[in-house]
Amino acid sequence: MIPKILIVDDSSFARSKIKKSLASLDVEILEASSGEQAIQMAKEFEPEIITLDLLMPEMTGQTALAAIRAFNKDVKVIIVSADIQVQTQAELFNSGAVSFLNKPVIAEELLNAVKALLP
Amino acid sequence: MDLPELMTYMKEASSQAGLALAELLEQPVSVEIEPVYTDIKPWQEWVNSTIAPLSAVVSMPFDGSFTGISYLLFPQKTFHSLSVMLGELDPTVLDHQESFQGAVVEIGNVLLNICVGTLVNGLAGKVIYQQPEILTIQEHILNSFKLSNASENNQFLLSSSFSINTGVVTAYIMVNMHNGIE
Repeated sequence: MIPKILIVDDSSFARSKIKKSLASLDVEILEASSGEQAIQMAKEFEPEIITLDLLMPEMTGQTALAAIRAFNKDVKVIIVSADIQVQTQAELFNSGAVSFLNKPVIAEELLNAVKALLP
Repeated sequence: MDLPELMTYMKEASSQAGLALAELLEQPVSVEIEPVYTDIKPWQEWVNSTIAPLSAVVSMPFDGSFTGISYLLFPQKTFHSLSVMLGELDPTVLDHQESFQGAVVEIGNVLLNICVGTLVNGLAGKVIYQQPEILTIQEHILNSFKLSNASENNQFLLSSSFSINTGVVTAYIMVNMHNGIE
């Protein structure tokens, strides 16, 4: 079965950049533009990996991460955020993120991070 | 927080933001640090004489160890070139105005996060960001400066300018921050 990767970002420009970075992988790409949609899609499609933005309207990535972790302990969550604060990164690792990449996404870094997590 | 310390972090912040902008636009970017102000009036005069008229401003307020607002300003004279650059990177950006503005907001989100984050990391603080917003109507842009920059004690207005592809596009980052200590 082809692994599924859920890209979560309210910016379609950012999602497009991430999608381009992962184009060489044999994976199914899913997209969510909000925290709420991410939770719903994580339940419905059970992706192996989620790339998650933090600063989104209505529900932050941090809140979405906690909600997803509540029903799925196995999904690997890579935070892809422009927030470079040291404390933010520490909080996210404590909340169950496995990796933290800063925007703008460097294609090779993201590709390597995803490859390392693929089953 | 004192001025020499802030200037050191602003240089680092601007340099990091410049690298990010070069990565986002796939174009060479040069960065310059602009004058620092501690009062809103001379700062506004500098904006009016140097940068205005503006086509768009992305603003992102923040709160926590420090309170303030950061701006990414695009002067009118080079804004069209930015849309051409973005369209070459991702043609869907030009499908409709919302997509283009969304891409500009994302650029603002990345640059302002990097800039404020570098300052805050240097000062060993932590802030929470509000959603970035874009303003494209001149009157709204000017009003946002008036409303957001009410005179505060111990405030600093830090600026840096970015020249993209040797001036084809220019942009300015401004951070107005204070720590509330009078």
